[in-house]
Amino acid sequence: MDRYVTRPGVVLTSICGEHMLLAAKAAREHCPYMTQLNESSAFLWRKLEDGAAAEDLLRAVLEEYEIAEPEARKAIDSFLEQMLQHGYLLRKGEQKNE
Amino acid sequence: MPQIYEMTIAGHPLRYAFLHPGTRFLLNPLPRRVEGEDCDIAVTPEKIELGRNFLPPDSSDAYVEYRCLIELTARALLPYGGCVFHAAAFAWRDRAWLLTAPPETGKTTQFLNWQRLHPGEITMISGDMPALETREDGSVWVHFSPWNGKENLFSRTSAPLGGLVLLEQGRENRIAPLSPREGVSPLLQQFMALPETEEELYAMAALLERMLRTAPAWKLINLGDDASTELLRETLLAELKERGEA
Repeated sequence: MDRYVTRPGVVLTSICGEHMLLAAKAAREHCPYMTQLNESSAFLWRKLEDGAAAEDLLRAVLEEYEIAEPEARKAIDSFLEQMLQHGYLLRKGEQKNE
Repeated sequence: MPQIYEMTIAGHPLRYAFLHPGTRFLLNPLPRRVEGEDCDIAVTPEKIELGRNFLPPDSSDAYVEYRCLIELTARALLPYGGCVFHAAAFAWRDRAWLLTAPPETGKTTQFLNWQRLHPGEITMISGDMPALETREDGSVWVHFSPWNGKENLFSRTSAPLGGLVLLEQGRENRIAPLSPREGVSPLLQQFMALPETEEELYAMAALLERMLRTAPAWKLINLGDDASTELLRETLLAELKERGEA
Protein backbone atom coordinates (compact mmCIF):
# COMPACT_ATOMS: atom_id res chain seq x y z
CA MET A 1 0.00 0.00 0.00
CA ASP A 2 1.36 3.46 -0.94
CA ARG A 3 2.16 5.79 1.91
CA TYR A 4 2.73 9.48 1.47
CA VAL A 5 4.38 12.20 3.50
CA THR A 6 3.91 15.93 3.23
CA ARG A 7 7.08 17.70 2.14
CA PRO A 8 8.99 19.27 5.03
CA GLY A 9 8.70 23.04 4.87
CA VAL A 10 5.20 23.00 3.33
CA VAL A 11 2.48 24.26 5.64
CA LEU A 12 -1.28 24.44 5.33
CA THR A 13 -2.65 27.74 6.57
CA SER A 14 -6.15 29.09 6.72
CA ILE A 15 -6.64 32.78 5.96
CA CYS A 16 -10.21 33.99 6.45
CA GLY A 17 -11.39 30.46 5.76
CA GLU A 18 -9.30 30.03 2.61
CA HIS A 19 -6.83 27.15 2.68
CA MET A 20 -3.35 27.87 1.34
CA LEU A 21 -0.38 25.58 1.01
CA LEU A 22 2.74 27.67 1.45
CA ALA A 23 6.29 26.47 0.88
CA ALA A 24 9.32 27.66 2.86
CA LYS A 25 12.64 28.26 1.15
CA ALA A 26 14.07 24.72 1.06
CA ALA A 27 10.75 23.30 -0.15
CA ARG A 28 10.41 25.88 -2.94
CA GLU A 29 13.16 24.10 -4.89
CA HIS A 30 10.68 21.26 -5.35
CA CYS A 31 7.20 22.80 -5.35
CA PRO A 32 5.42 26.10 -6.08
CA TYR A 33 5.47 28.83 -3.42
CA MET A 34 1.71 28.79 -2.90
CA THR A 35 -1.41 26.91 -3.90
CA GLN A 36 -5.00 27.42 -2.85
CA LEU A 37 -6.84 24.27 -1.74
CA ASN A 38 -10.56 23.64 -1.51
CA GLU A 39 -12.16 22.33 1.67
CA SER A 40 -11.91 18.63 0.82
CA SER A 41 -8.29 18.88 -0.33
CA ALA A 42 -7.40 20.66 2.91
CA PHE A 43 -9.15 17.84 4.78
CA LEU A 44 -7.04 15.25 2.97
CA TRP A 45 -3.84 17.24 3.54
CA ARG A 46 -4.50 17.36 7.29
CA LYS A 47 -5.04 13.60 7.34
CA LEU A 48 -1.73 13.09 5.54
CA GLU A 49 -0.02 15.39 8.06
CA ASP A 50 -1.37 13.06 10.74
CA GLY A 51 0.28 10.13 8.97
CA ALA A 52 -2.72 8.64 7.17
CA ALA A 53 -2.13 6.03 4.43
CA ALA A 54 -4.15 5.99 1.20
CA GLU A 55 -6.70 3.54 2.64
CA ASP A 56 -7.07 5.68 5.78
CA LEU A 57 -7.88 8.61 3.51
CA LEU A 58 -10.68 6.66 1.87
CA ARG A 59 -12.15 5.71 5.24
CA ALA A 60 -11.93 9.28 6.49
CA VAL A 61 -13.58 10.73 3.37
CA LEU A 62 -16.43 8.22 3.52
CA GLU A 63 -17.02 9.11 7.16
CA GLU A 64 -16.83 12.86 6.59
CA TYR A 65 -18.65 13.33 3.28
CA GLU A 66 -21.75 11.82 1.76
CA ILE A 67 -20.08 10.33 -1.26
CA ALA A 68 -20.00 6.93 -2.97
CA GLU A 69 -16.83 4.89 -2.59
CA PRO A 70 -15.80 4.86 -6.28
CA GLU A 71 -16.24 8.62 -6.45
CA ALA A 72 -14.25 9.11 -3.23
CA ARG A 73 -11.47 6.85 -4.46
CA LYS A 74 -11.29 8.81 -7.71
CA ALA A 75 -11.15 12.15 -5.89
CA ILE A 76 -8.41 10.94 -3.53
CA ASP A 77 -6.34 9.51 -6.39
CA SER A 78 -6.65 12.79 -8.27
CA PHE A 79 -5.63 14.80 -5.19
CA LEU A 80 -2.62 12.58 -4.48
CA GLU A 81 -1.52 12.65 -8.09
CA GLN A 82 -1.71 16.45 -8.24
CA MET A 83 0.10 16.93 -4.96
CA LEU A 84 2.83 14.48 -6.01
CA GLN A 85 3.13 16.11 -9.40
CA HIS A 86 3.54 19.57 -7.89
CA GLY A 87 6.03 18.30 -5.32
CA TYR A 88 3.99 19.01 -2.21
CA LEU A 89 3.80 15.29 -1.38
CA LEU A 90 6.43 12.59 -1.36
CA ARG A 91 6.11 8.84 -1.46
CA LYS A 92 7.42 7.52 1.82
CA GLY A 93 11.16 6.94 1.53
CA GLU A 94 11.46 9.27 -1.46
CA GLN A 95 12.68 12.16 0.68
CA LYS A 96 15.97 10.43 1.52
CA ASN A 97 16.79 10.12 -2.17
CA GLU A 98 16.52 13.87 -2.88
CA MET B 1 34.72 45.85 11.03
CA PRO B 2 31.47 46.89 9.33
CA GLN B 3 29.79 50.14 10.26
CA ILE B 4 26.32 49.67 11.66
CA TYR B 5 23.36 51.89 10.79
CA GLU B 6 19.88 51.93 12.19
CA MET B 7 16.49 52.60 10.65
CA THR B 8 13.16 52.42 12.44
CA ILE B 9 10.69 50.66 10.17
CA ALA B 10 7.08 50.06 11.19
CA GLY B 11 8.00 51.00 14.74
CA HIS B 12 10.94 48.59 14.97
CA PRO B 13 14.55 49.75 15.08
CA LEU B 14 16.51 47.52 12.70
CA ARG B 15 20.29 47.49 12.41
CA TYR B 16 21.96 47.23 9.03
CA ALA B 17 25.52 46.54 7.85
CA PHE B 18 25.91 47.75 4.26
CA LEU B 19 28.23 46.06 1.80
CA HIS B 20 28.56 49.12 -0.42
CA PRO B 21 29.12 52.62 0.98
CA GLY B 22 26.70 54.23 -1.49
CA THR B 23 23.72 52.14 -0.41
CA ARG B 24 22.76 54.16 2.62
CA PHE B 25 22.52 57.34 0.55
CA LEU B 26 19.79 55.72 -1.54
CA LEU B 27 17.67 55.18 1.54
CA ASN B 28 15.30 57.93 2.52
CA PRO B 29 15.29 58.91 5.37
CA LEU B 30 19.01 58.38 5.78
CA PRO B 31 19.91 55.62 8.27
CA ARG B 32 21.79 56.83 11.30
CA ARG B 33 25.14 55.47 12.44
CA VAL B 34 25.09 53.55 15.74
CA GLU B 35 27.70 51.93 17.93
CA GLY B 36 28.27 48.18 18.04
CA GLU B 37 28.92 45.33 15.66
CA ASP B 38 25.68 43.34 15.76
CA CYS B 39 23.17 43.82 12.99
CA ASP B 40 19.79 42.42 12.00
CA ILE B 41 20.29 42.75 8.28
CA ALA B 42 23.31 42.35 6.01
CA VAL B 43 23.23 41.55 2.30
CA THR B 44 25.74 38.90 1.22
CA PRO B 45 27.72 39.17 -2.05
CA GLU B 46 25.88 36.02 -3.21
CA LYS B 47 22.52 37.70 -2.63
CA ILE B 48 23.72 40.75 -4.61
CA GLU B 49 24.64 38.55 -7.57
CA LEU B 50 21.26 36.81 -7.39
CA GLY B 51 19.41 40.13 -7.05
CA ARG B 52 21.24 41.53 -10.08
CA ASN B 53 19.43 39.02 -12.30
CA PHE B 54 16.12 40.78 -11.62
CA LEU B 55 17.33 44.33 -12.26
CA PRO B 56 18.49 46.31 -15.31
CA PRO B 57 22.04 45.27 -16.28
CA ASP B 58 23.48 48.74 -15.64
CA SER B 59 22.31 48.79 -11.98
CA SER B 60 25.04 49.87 -9.57
CA ASP B 61 26.16 47.59 -6.73
CA ALA B 62 24.65 50.04 -4.26
CA TYR B 63 21.30 50.02 -6.06
CA VAL B 64 21.23 46.21 -6.16
CA GLU B 65 21.97 46.12 -2.42
CA TYR B 66 19.26 48.76 -1.82
CA ARG B 67 16.74 46.52 -3.57
CA CYS B 68 17.94 43.36 -1.77
CA LEU B 69 17.35 45.10 1.55
CA ILE B 70 13.60 45.19 0.89
CA GLU B 71 13.17 41.43 1.11
CA LEU B 72 15.48 41.08 4.10
CA THR B 73 13.70 43.89 5.94
CA ALA B 74 10.29 42.39 5.13
CA ARG B 75 11.43 39.08 6.64
CA ALA B 76 12.99 40.76 9.66
CA LEU B 77 9.62 42.35 10.47
CA LEU B 78 7.62 39.10 10.31
CA PRO B 79 8.39 37.93 13.89
CA TYR B 80 6.96 41.25 15.11
CA GLY B 81 3.76 40.87 13.09
CA GLY B 82 4.96 43.30 10.43
CA CYS B 83 6.14 43.18 6.83
CA VAL B 84 6.83 45.33 3.78
CA PHE B 85 3.89 45.22 1.36
CA HIS B 86 3.82 46.12 -2.32
CA ALA B 87 1.18 48.85 -2.61
CA ALA B 88 0.63 52.56 -2.84
CA ALA B 89 -0.52 53.64 0.62
CA PHE B 90 -2.22 56.94 1.28
CA ALA B 91 -3.79 58.53 4.31
CA TRP B 92 -7.35 59.85 4.06
CA ARG B 93 -9.71 60.73 6.89
CA ASP B 94 -7.36 59.34 9.57
CA ARG B 95 -7.08 55.95 7.87
CA ALA B 96 -4.54 54.33 5.60
CA TRP B 97 -5.72 52.86 2.30
CA LEU B 98 -3.68 50.39 0.31
CA LEU B 99 -3.88 50.26 -3.49
CA THR B 100 -2.16 47.09 -4.54
CA ALA B 101 -1.46 45.52 -7.91
CA PRO B 102 1.39 44.16 -10.00
CA PRO B 103 3.88 46.86 -11.13
CA GLU B 104 2.74 49.33 -13.78
CA THR B 105 -0.96 48.69 -13.13
CA GLY B 106 -1.84 52.25 -12.17
CA LYS B 107 -1.44 52.51 -8.40
CA THR B 108 0.26 55.87 -8.60
CA THR B 109 -2.16 57.03 -11.31
CA GLN B 110 -5.08 56.59 -8.91
CA PHE B 111 -3.25 58.56 -6.24
CA LEU B 112 -2.32 61.39 -8.64
CA ASN B 113 -5.87 61.52 -10.06
CA TRP B 114 -7.32 61.80 -6.56
CA GLN B 115 -4.85 64.50 -5.58
CA ARG B 116 -5.76 66.52 -8.67
CA LEU B 117 -9.53 66.00 -8.36
CA HIS B 118 -9.68 66.65 -4.61
CA PRO B 119 -6.63 68.74 -3.73
CA GLY B 120 -5.36 68.45 -0.18
CA GLU B 121 -7.55 65.49 0.74
CA ILE B 122 -4.99 62.72 0.76
CA THR B 123 -1.38 62.26 1.78
CA MET B 124 0.86 59.62 0.29
CA ILE B 125 2.37 57.39 2.98
CA SER B 126 4.43 55.30 0.59
CA GLY B 127 4.27 55.27 -3.18
CA ASP B 128 5.39 51.69 -3.53
CA MET B 129 6.17 49.72 -0.38
CA PRO B 130 4.57 50.67 2.90
CA ALA B 131 5.66 48.87 6.05
CA LEU B 132 2.91 47.19 8.06
CA GLU B 133 2.77 46.79 11.81
CA THR B 134 0.40 44.77 13.99
CA ARG B 135 -0.16 46.48 17.32
CA GLU B 136 -0.97 44.85 20.63
CA ASP B 137 -4.65 45.77 20.29
CA GLY B 138 -4.74 43.83 16.99
CA SER B 139 -4.92 46.89 14.76
CA VAL B 140 -2.76 47.02 11.63
CA TRP B 141 -0.85 50.24 11.05
CA VAL B 142 0.61 51.46 7.80
CA HIS B 143 3.93 53.34 7.78
CA PHE B 144 6.26 54.79 5.19
CA SER B 145 9.41 52.88 4.29
CA PRO B 146 12.68 53.81 2.59
CA TRP B 147 11.44 52.18 -0.66
CA ASN B 148 8.96 54.44 -2.37
CA GLY B 149 9.03 53.68 -6.07
CA LYS B 150 10.38 55.61 -8.99
CA GLU B 151 8.39 58.73 -8.13
CA ASN B 152 9.77 58.59 -4.55
CA LEU B 153 6.41 59.62 -3.10
CA PHE B 154 6.28 59.29 0.68
CA SER B 155 5.65 61.19 3.85
CA ARG B 156 6.46 60.50 7.48
CA THR B 157 2.87 59.58 8.16
CA SER B 158 1.33 56.52 9.77
CA ALA B 159 -2.30 55.53 10.08
CA PRO B 160 -4.40 52.49 10.95
CA LEU B 161 -5.46 50.41 7.98
CA GLY B 162 -8.78 51.54 6.54
CA GLY B 163 -9.08 49.22 3.55
CA LEU B 164 -7.36 47.45 0.69
CA VAL B 165 -8.01 47.77 -3.02
CA LEU B 166 -6.71 45.30 -5.56
CA LEU B 167 -6.37 47.11 -8.88
CA GLU B 168 -6.78 45.53 -12.26
CA GLN B 169 -6.70 47.30 -15.59
CA GLY B 170 -9.81 46.74 -17.68
CA ARG B 171 -12.08 48.12 -20.36
CA GLU B 172 -14.54 49.58 -17.89
CA ASN B 173 -14.65 50.90 -14.34
CA ARG B 174 -16.15 48.47 -11.86
CA ILE B 175 -15.61 47.98 -8.15
CA ALA B 176 -16.83 45.10 -5.99
CA PRO B 177 -15.97 43.62 -2.61
CA LEU B 178 -12.96 41.29 -2.83
CA SER B 179 -13.83 37.93 -1.32
CA PRO B 180 -11.12 36.02 0.57
CA ARG B 181 -11.43 33.26 -2.07
CA GLU B 182 -10.49 35.70 -4.80
CA GLY B 183 -8.14 37.87 -2.79
CA VAL B 184 -5.97 35.72 -0.57
CA SER B 185 -3.65 34.44 -3.26
CA PRO B 186 -2.95 37.75 -5.08
CA LEU B 187 -2.63 39.60 -1.76
CA LEU B 188 -0.13 37.08 -0.37
CA GLN B 189 1.99 37.71 -3.44
CA GLN B 190 2.21 41.40 -2.57
CA PHE B 191 4.19 40.73 0.60
CA MET B 192 7.83 41.53 -0.09
CA ALA B 193 9.07 38.72 2.15
CA LEU B 194 9.95 35.36 0.69
CA PRO B 195 9.70 33.34 3.90
CA GLU B 196 12.51 30.92 4.59
CA THR B 197 10.99 29.08 7.55
CA GLU B 198 7.62 27.69 8.50
CA GLU B 199 7.39 30.25 11.32
CA GLU B 200 7.80 33.06 8.79
CA LEU B 201 5.09 31.54 6.57
CA TYR B 202 2.67 31.36 9.49
CA ALA B 203 3.53 34.95 10.48
CA MET B 204 2.83 36.23 6.97
CA ALA B 205 -0.47 34.33 6.79
CA ALA B 206 -1.45 35.67 10.23
CA LEU B 207 -0.71 39.23 9.11
CA LEU B 208 -2.90 38.90 6.00
CA GLU B 209 -5.67 37.34 8.10
CA ARG B 210 -5.41 40.27 10.51
CA MET B 211 -5.54 42.77 7.63
CA LEU B 212 -8.64 41.18 6.08
CA ARG B 213 -10.41 40.86 9.43
CA THR B 214 -9.62 44.48 10.29
CA ALA B 215 -10.41 46.17 7.02
CA PRO B 216 -12.62 45.67 3.97
CA ALA B 217 -11.13 44.81 0.59
CA TRP B 218 -12.30 45.58 -2.92
CA LYS B 219 -11.31 44.81 -6.45
CA LEU B 220 -11.27 47.81 -8.75
CA ILE B 221 -11.24 47.03 -12.44
CA ASN B 222 -10.40 50.34 -14.02
CA LEU B 223 -9.38 52.44 -16.97
CA GLY B 224 -7.14 54.66 -14.87
CA ASP B 225 -9.27 57.69 -15.76
CA ASP B 226 -10.87 60.31 -13.49
CA ALA B 227 -14.15 58.38 -13.38
CA SER B 228 -12.39 55.33 -11.92
CA THR B 229 -10.87 57.45 -9.17
CA GLU B 230 -14.25 59.02 -8.36
CA LEU B 231 -15.75 55.54 -8.21
CA LEU B 232 -13.02 54.49 -5.79
CA ARG B 233 -13.52 57.58 -3.63
CA GLU B 234 -17.30 57.14 -3.51
CA THR B 235 -16.88 53.51 -2.48
CA LEU B 236 -14.46 54.33 0.33
CA LEU B 237 -16.64 57.21 1.45
CA ALA B 238 -19.71 54.93 1.61
CA GLU B 239 -17.66 52.51 3.72
CA LEU B 240 -16.69 55.28 6.14
CA LYS B 241 -20.31 56.47 6.34
CA GLU B 242 -21.43 52.93 7.16
CA ARG B 243 -18.86 52.80 9.95
CA GLY B 244 -19.96 56.20 11.16
CA GLU B 245 -16.55 57.69 10.42
CA ALA B 246 -17.39 59.96 7.49
